[in-house]
Amino acid sequence: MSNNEAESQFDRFLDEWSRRDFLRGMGGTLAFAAFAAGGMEFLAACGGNQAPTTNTQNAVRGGHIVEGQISDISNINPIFINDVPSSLVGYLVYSRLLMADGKGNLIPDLATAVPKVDSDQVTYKVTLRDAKWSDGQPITSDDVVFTYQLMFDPKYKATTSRFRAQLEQYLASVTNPDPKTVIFKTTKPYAPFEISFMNIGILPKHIWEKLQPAEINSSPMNQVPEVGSGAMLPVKWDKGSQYQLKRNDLFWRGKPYLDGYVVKVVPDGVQIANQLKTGEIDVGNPDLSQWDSLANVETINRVSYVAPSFDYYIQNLDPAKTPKAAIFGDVQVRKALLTALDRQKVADKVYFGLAAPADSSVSGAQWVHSTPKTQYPYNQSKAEQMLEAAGWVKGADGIRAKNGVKMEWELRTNVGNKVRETLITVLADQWKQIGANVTTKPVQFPQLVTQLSQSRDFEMILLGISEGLDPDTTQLWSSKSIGGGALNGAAYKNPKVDDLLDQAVQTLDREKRKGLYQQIQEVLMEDLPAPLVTYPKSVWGISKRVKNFNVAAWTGASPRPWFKDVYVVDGK
Amino acid sequence: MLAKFVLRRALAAIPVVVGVTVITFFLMHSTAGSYVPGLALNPNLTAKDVALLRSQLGLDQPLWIQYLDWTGVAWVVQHLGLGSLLVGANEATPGLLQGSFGQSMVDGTSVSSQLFDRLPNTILLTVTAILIGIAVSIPLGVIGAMRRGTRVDNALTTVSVAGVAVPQFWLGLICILFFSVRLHDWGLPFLPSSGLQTPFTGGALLDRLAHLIMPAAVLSFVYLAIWSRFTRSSMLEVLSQDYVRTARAKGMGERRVTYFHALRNAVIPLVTLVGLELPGLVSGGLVVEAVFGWPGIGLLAYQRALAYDYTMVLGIVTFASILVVAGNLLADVLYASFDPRIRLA
Amino acid sequence: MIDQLAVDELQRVGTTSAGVTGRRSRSYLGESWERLRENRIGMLAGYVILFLAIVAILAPVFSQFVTHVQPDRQDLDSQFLPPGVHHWLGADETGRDTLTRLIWGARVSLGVGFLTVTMQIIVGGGVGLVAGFFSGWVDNVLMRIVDMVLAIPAIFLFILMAILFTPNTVTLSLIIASVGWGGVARLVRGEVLSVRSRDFMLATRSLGAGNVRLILRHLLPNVLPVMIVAASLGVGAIILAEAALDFLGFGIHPPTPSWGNMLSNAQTYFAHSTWLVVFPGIMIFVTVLAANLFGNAIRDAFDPRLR
Repeated sequence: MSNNEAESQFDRFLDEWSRRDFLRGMGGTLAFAAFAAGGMEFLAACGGNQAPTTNTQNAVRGGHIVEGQISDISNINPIFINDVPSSLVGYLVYSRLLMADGKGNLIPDLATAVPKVDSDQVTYKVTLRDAKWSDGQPITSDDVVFTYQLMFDPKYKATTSRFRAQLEQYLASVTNPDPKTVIFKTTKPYAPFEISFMNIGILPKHIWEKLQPAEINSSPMNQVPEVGSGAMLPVKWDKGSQYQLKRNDLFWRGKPYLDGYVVKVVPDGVQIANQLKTGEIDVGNPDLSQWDSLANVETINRVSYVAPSFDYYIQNLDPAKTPKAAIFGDVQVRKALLTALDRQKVADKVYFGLAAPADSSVSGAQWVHSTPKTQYPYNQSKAEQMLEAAGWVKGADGIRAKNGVKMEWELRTNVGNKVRETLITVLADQWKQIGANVTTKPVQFPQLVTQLSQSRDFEMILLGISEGLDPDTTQLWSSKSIGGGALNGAAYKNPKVDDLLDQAVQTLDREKRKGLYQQIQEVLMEDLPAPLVTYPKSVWGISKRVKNFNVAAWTGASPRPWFKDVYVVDGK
Repeated sequence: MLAKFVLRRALAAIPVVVGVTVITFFLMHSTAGSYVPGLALNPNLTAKDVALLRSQLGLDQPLWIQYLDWTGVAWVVQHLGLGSLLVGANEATPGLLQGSFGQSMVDGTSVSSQLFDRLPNTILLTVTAILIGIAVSIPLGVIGAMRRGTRVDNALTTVSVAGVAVPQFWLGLICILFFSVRLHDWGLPFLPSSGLQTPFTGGALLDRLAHLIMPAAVLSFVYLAIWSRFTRSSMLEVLSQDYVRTARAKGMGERRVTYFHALRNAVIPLVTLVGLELPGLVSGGLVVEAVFGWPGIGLLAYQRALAYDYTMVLGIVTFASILVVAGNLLADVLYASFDPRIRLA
Repeated sequence: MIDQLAVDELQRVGTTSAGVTGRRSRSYLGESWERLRENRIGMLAGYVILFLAIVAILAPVFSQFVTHVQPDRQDLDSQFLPPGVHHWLGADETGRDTLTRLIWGARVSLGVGFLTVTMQIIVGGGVGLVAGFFSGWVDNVLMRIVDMVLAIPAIFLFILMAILFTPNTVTLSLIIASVGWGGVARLVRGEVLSVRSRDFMLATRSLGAGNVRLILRHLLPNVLPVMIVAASLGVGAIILAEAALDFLGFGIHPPTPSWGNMLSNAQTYFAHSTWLVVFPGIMIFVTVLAANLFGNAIRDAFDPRLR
């Protein structure tokens, strides 16, 4: 186990530990001694390496909790969902065929089991369990077929589902031979199909079929549906203020313990920390800078975990778009630039210790993650040597130049994310130490997205990505994904990677797929078109009166299969 | 005569409103033209998805057609059968002229439903702030006038002038830190720091007041400084008037003179000042709304502007501008009906 | 009620009752200046602004000789150091020196303040002069445009424009000025309308003075006081507007320091690093207060009613 791995595991171990009252008496040193003595076994036994567990022995029925979120819901209809608060509420209100557990593995929801693909590699047969809508009607395969038709049938072209283009490409047909069976046929073997498209919430046909296709886009049921099938049902939406839900007694997993649940809109992460302290909210994601201040609050537990996300910077490699491609075009220069970054210090100071330096092109929470052999530990002098060797020599003003091109560029990120705004100034400063003159400019998010994915009119951009459940990264690294709204802003073209990505998407065998993605990670660490900087952690403040609120890497905001077992100790 | 005046003013207001729509529309659309509002940076979304959504929102049409569509002119033209004039236009939907602000581009909700649902929150906030402003500046102004030149007067002037020298957001955040977090730390009753009401309390009056008082007080600072000084000078002027001297000479008690005669007349010009604030009622509280998470129109406009929700932002700004124009028109008409000289201007 | 216009008339040099009070004859501006000098608080405020402006201009000198650091020099190990020997006013989240940044921040904040006010006066004053002088359709069109700009609530216009432009001192001044010039235009136009109707204007014109001469040599000096008062009262509001825009995310971004962005960045760290919030807050407060007091003093000095 490498040093970094050990440290992060010990962190997780401590987090789990502090939540166990009986061990609180032991100090930190003892904890480490126990950890060192017991090593992996102790870790596993204390649940340090697994998703947190559910315990309903002393569960109390009744009460409610308030969750703080920074933005309001926009649209909780599963075919439209596009932001965190909406998917949080959407997952509570609508059940779906499959969902994910804390580690990102598929588990069945409305389906009785996770379907295995047929021998033809394109057919999936799903059997539905017995479940009811909140108005008492049974959930049948008609509902499933209807939901998918909304997203890909030509009859519903006017309905602006964001899944349409992809489903038109990959879904050949969805049929139901009987009320409890649904058969999906893909157009070709497509590995991400189950995890990407079978976890979409199912809509009640008997309610929605009454609407015209275009009416669906603006129906108020998109925000406050009358009928649902999840753990909670909508009660009221106070626009911009809060969304109130109540217990669904007909939920197929069983009646939830909580009576009610509110998602409250809080202005920012600092206020979330404040309101956690005053008890105005019970759970929420505090701003990273407030993490320390929550440590000694008696009423709050802190939870942090490695999230499926990463922050990375994209270098524009296209000479047709920017003359700076002359700087980034040389792979030795790219390697030198990464070597010049002290990412551990950045994680400590800019993320307040709540991040880890990245070591690959996918986050640590992805099951395909591996640590490529080539790494770039911080070494400023080595970076300078590499630049010298590549022909970039310091001029009289201290800035390197080669063939008349100066080593200077503009680094952009989006306005509104304080961590990233600070990060770009720090990175710029670290590059200044090796003779690159980097200026920084925060830009409004929509403009940044356009610059990255449409006009590709930028020099270097720093961004954060929240990964999807499926490890397919065609959108990020394939040469098909340059411009037109796709995310390969660097214009990175590597036929080998293209080929591996295509193969991996069609390989349904999990082990084989993992192997392919590992090869991709190795290549990307050699080419470094868009190196990852850090893996930020997700942080939560959870009131001590709330139990079984088991947020983990893939079950943070959504989905929350554990939600029905959440209870409050005082029943209020 | 009055009717002619009103008509002239109303006609003059129309190009202003049209001009406002043109300015706001082209300002809003002149950036990031190919961005699709509401789409997060999703590594699973393909270029085709994005292009499809863009065309469904009508963003790939030429800008002038989008303008005509939004204002409702396109709808009129198409219903007159002249649709072919609008080359490249989609099926037009009702626009401003038909009384519709359209749908949000981010979540499909109707702009007017968001606007009118949240408007009462903003009005509640700004009206309360104005009331607090009046309630505090009158006594401050009167005391200042009565004790003119003394230390009390100077102190009050300093306080009111100082009150406007602090940034509103800073004041708001300090209040939250003290009245919410610190008071709670000390175990005292504390004020809630954001939102309209505490969830699950059903909107009890005391709870709603507790949520309202901090943002309204912070917002009222802006009015306090100007109004208290104005009341003071207005009071001073009235006190030196002949009829006040006459009242004193007649033997009326000092207190009666002050509160009965002088104050009443001193306050009348204040009404004018308050009236000046009314058109800005809808937008004035944006920063306070942002700090306190008060779900009003200003905050909505700000958040949606960041998300490039074109229709929502245009709807709110146009609505607010129409209110300003209407408010000014009303004020002009009222003045004209009192003072005939103005009608000739 | 006393007719203020009539009072103005009595005090203006050139009317038949000039010098009624028996004082020796002096120009209007001269008398106002004297009155201003007597206002101790106002003068103090003026000196404060002058001092801050000098400090802002000399910022590089300060960096070189006093604090020995540039405003953007980072040192992550000094993150959040409280005021002490190495950093007299403490260090921020990337170890930059607060005192240096406050001094350089004065450049941005005061620069935006003065630049904006200048633009507002020039554009607003110009429009108001032309509209008021020429009347007719010129007046109509110009005032309709002013109405349009004033109909859109200022903060909304800020947001719409700030999304367009990359914020730096000049563009930020442009944005804020584009909202404020309307009020100045109306004010100036009102003054022009009242001055225009006076006898001396008629007299000068009948002596053969052309339009430009009339506007520049006779109208402008009489309208100037109003413009100066508007300017001095506006500076404070502009500095506050810049701070508000920083808070909303539309203003100047780090590493360039401005008092507004130092203040809004520091809010996150208030709990453990209070000084980061206190110092920029004090600077804004003092500057705006001084600007307002000075503006009030100028207005009082120019106001004939207080004689």
